[in-house]
Amino acid sequence: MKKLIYTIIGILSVLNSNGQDILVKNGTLITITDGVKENTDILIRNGKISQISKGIKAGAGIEVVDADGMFVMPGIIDAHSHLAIDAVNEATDPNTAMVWVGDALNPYDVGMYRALAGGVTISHAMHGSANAVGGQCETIKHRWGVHDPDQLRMEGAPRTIKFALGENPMRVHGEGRGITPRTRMGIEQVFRKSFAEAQVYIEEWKAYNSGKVKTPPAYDLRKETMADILKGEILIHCHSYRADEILMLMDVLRDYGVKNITFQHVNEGFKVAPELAAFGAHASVFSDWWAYKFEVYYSTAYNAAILSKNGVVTSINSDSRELIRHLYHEAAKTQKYGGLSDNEALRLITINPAIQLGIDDRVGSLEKGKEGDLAIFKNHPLSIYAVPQKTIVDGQVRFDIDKDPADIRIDIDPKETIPAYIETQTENGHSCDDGCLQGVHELLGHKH
Amino acid sequence: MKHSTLLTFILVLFILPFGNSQNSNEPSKITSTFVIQNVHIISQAGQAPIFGSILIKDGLIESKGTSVNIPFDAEIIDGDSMYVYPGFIDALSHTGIKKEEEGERVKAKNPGNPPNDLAGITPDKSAMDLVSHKEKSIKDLRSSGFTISHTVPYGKMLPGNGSIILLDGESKEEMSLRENVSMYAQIKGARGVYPGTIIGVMAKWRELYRSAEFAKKHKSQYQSNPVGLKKPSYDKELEAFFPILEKKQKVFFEASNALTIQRALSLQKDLGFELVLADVKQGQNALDKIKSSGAQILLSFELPKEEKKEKEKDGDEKEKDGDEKEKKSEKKKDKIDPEKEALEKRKAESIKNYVAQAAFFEENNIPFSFSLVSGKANDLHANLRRMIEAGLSEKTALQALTSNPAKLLQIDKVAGTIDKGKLANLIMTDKPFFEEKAKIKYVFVQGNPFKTEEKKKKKKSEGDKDQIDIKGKWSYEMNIPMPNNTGVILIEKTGETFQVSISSADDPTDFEVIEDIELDGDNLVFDFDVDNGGMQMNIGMDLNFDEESFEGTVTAGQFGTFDMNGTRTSKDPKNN
Repeated sequence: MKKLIYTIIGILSVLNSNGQDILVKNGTLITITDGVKENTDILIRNGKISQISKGIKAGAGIEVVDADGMFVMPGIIDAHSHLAIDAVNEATDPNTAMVWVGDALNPYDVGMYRALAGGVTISHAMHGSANAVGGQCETIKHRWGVHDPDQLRMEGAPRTIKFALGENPMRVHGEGRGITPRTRMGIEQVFRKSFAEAQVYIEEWKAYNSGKVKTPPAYDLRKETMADILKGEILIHCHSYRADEILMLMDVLRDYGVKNITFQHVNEGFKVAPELAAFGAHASVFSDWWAYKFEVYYSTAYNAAILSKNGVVTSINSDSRELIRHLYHEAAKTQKYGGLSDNEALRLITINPAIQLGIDDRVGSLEKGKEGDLAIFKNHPLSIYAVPQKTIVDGQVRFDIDKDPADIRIDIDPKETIPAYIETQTENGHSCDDGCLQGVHELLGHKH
Repeated sequence: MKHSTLLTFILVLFILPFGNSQNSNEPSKITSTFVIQNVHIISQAGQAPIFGSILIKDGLIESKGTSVNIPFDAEIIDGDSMYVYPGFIDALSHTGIKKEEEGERVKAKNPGNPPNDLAGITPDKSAMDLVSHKEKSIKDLRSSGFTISHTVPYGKMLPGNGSIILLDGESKEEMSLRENVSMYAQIKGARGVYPGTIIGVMAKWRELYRSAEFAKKHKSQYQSNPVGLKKPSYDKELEAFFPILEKKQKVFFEASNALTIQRALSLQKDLGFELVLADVKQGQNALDKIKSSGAQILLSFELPKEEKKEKEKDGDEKEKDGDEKEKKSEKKKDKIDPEKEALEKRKAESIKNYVAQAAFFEENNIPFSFSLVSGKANDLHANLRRMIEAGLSEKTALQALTSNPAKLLQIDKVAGTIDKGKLANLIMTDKPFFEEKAKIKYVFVQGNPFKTEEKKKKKKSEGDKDQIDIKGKWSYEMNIPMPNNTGVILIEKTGETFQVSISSADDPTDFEVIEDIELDGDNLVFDFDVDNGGMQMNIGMDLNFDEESFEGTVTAGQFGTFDMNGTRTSKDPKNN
C-alpha cells in the first residue's frame, strides 16, 4: 500500500517538490504596473513576492530558477472559463442564483494543467448561460496536484455570479419550455422580478430579526443570493452580446443600486463603450471569435482595443479549454487589431481580469506583497514564438516544460477502456457553441 | 443489438416481478431449538476459535462452549469441525426493496419548482413500507453470509429513511428489527427538474436543512406558546429532518468517489449533521478531512476487475535464432504500443489503489463497516480476499462485517457477536472463512437454519484440460420473465482468442461484437458496455460450455444477475 502511495506521490512530486519559496533570477520582468525590468530577480517567500531587485542572494534551501534570457510575467488570469467543475448549468429555472459551481469543483480536471502550460494561474470557473440569473461562480487557482477541491479556491476572492442575456436563456426557457423569458423583454423582467422579491425578502428578515414579526419568513436560498447582490457582496458577470441589452441591464442595475458588473463576451461592446465606461462596467471579450449564433454576427476584432481606449477595464477570456492555453496570443491580436502597446495588451490577461474578479490587490502584476504567481516565457509573451517554460502558483512550480510527463492525470478510472489507438478528444470547439451551454443540450432536445 | 434496445430490455427487467420460487431448503419448523455440535466457534472478530457447541432456542443463543446441555426437543446439527462466525451485517443496501422503473419523464409544470417527489425529495419515505420478504436480494445476501441489512429506498437526492431488517421472515413485519433509523442521501439530480445537477442538489440540501431548522424552531415556539404566532404548516419533508437536527439520526450519504466524499463532507461542515459516508471506494484521497470530520465510514466491497495479464511470449521467441525469427519478433515489438502500455500500467495502479483502500483505513486506525449499495453480494468472499492480500487483516475484515456495523446501527446488544442472549445469527463455513476455498454451508437467521445451495458447476476430471470447441452458432435464453429474452450468439475463433457477436430476438440482425475473449477450459467470461445517450451499463456474461449447450449467468450493471442458458444450432457461425 505504502509503495503505491509513494508511486503516486512520485508522479506528482515533479509538481509539488518545490516549497513555497523560490527565486527567479536574471529574467526580463514584465511587471504590468511598474514597467519592464531587465536582468532582475524576483524572490517569492511563503508564496508571496517579497523582493524585486537585481542581485538577490538565495538563502539556504531556496530553489533558484535561472530565467536568463527569459520573460517573467504575472500568472495569466482568465475571467471566463468552465475548468475544474463537474456541473456548469443548472438549467431548470430562469433564476438559479442559489446554486454555486464551487460545490462541484473537480481538482482532477486535466484542463487545469493544460491551462498552466499556457501560463494561466487563475481562472474564473463560471456557471453557464442557460438562465437569466445563473449560479454563483468560483475563482480558482490552478494548484494542479491537490486532491482537495477546497484547495483550488482562491480564498478570500469576492463572490461572483453569472447572469445571461439574449438567446441562451430565451432558447432554454422560452423556446424549450414555453415560459418566461421567451423574449429579450422577458429577460429584463426576470431580473426586475428577482431584485424586487429580494428587496421584500430583506425587509421581511429585518422585521423578524428586530422582533416586529414573530414568525420567520420562509428561508429561500435564491432570494438570499439576490439580496447579497443588492448588498454589493457579489460581483455580476453577465453573458451578453447585443448593445441594446447591455444598456438594458445597466438600467436595471441603476434602478436597484447595483454597481459591480463585468459584461462577458460583450461582442457589441464597442458600440456602447462610453456608456459602459460611464457606468463603471467592465468588459471581458474574445479576441476575434463570433458568428457562432445569430446574435453574435455584428462583431469586430477591434472590440478589446476600442473598449480599452474608451476607458473600460477590459480583459480577454477563453471560455474554452483550448483557447485558455494561448491567451497570450489572444492578447497579442489586439496589437494587430487596434495597435495596443505591449503593456496595454498584457493588461488584458493580467491586472484587468484581476480587477474584474476583485482580486487585483493580490494578483495581476509583479509587485512586492502580491501572490507569487508567475509565468515564465521563452521569447516575449506577445511574440508568435512565445513558449511558456514554467508556471508558478503561490511560489510553487506547477508546470515545467522540462518536466512534463506524458500522463499527468491524477485520478485514473479503474474501469476505463484503453483504446487500441489513442483518439483525440473533441473539446468544446468554436464551431458549435460557446462553452456556456454545457449540460443543457438534453433539455433542448439536442437542438443547437 | 441496438444499444437502445438492449438497454430498454434490461430496464424492463426490473419492472417485472421475478418468479420467486419458494426456498426449497427451508427447514420444517418442527422445533425452534437447535444444537450445533463439534464446531470451531469464533464468537467475535479477532477471537481464537473455541471448539464446542452452540445451543439455539427460540431464535436466540442460549449457550455456547464445551459444556452445552442438549434439550430433548433439540434438532442436532453436526458441525463436523466446521467454523461458526457471527452472521454478517450489511451496513447499507437496498435489500428487499424493488428498484422502481424510472418511467416516462413526468413534465413538471414548473421545472424550477417541482413537487418534492419529482425532485427526488422524499426523506419521509420509509424503507420498511417498501420491503418485501419475497425479494430475491434477501436470499442473495443471506447466501453470502449476511443476516441483517440496513436497507434504504432507491431514489434521487433524498430517497427516504432506512430500516434494519433480518434476512428471514414470512412477512416484512417479521423481518423488521428497527424502523426509521437513518436518512439516506445521494448527490443525484432529478430528471429535467430542479435540482438536476450536483450544484442543484448541494444548494437544495442547504436550503432544506436550514428551512428545517427554522420550521423546528417555529414549531416548538408554537407548542410552548401559540399566542400571536402564525400556525406552522405541516411539512413532512422538513419534519423528516428533525431527528437529524436533534442528532438522533445520522445521514448515510452515498459517497463512492473521491469528489462525492468531499461534497458530502462540505455539506456536513456547513450544516453540522452527523454523517456516515457510504459505499466509499476512493477514501484515501480525503483521509485528513474524513479524520477531522468525525464522519463514520462504510466501504464498498465492490472492486474493479483485475486486468488479465497478457501472455508473455517474448521470452520464448528471443531464444530462437535465425533471421526469420528475428523479423517475427520485431513485428511483435511493433505491435506493442508504448503509449497504450503506459496507460495500462496506470490503470493497473489505479485498480491496486481501490483494492488497497480497506488496508489503508485499517493502517490509519479508522474503523469501518461494509456497505452493499453497489456490487454483487456473491463477490464478497473473493473481494475480501483481494483486500486481505493487499494488507487488510482478517480481524478488521470480520469486524467490518459484524461488530462495527452492529455498533454503528446501535444493534450491538442483539447482534454482531456470538453471545448468550443475542440473536442466533450465525454462519457456518467448512474452512476458516477467509481461506480461498471456504464455503458457507449454513446461515442461521434468528435461529432459522438455511443450508446454502452448492453451485452446480460441472467438474472436469484432472487430466481433461482440453478446451471445448465453442466455435459456432448458439441460441440463448435468459431466465427473465419478458418477451425478448432469447437471441443468437455467434462465436468465432480469431487466433488464440474468441470473438463473440450477440443479438436479441427483437432485432436479430443487429449484433454487439466483443473481441479478444479468452476461453478458460469450458468457461467463457466477457463483458461489454451499452450506452444510450449517456445512460451507461455494463453487461457481463459468465458461461460454461458443453459440446452442445451452455449455461451460466448474465449480469446487468447493478440490476442483478440472472441465469442464462443456450444450445448449439450450428458448428459454423456463418451458417444461416
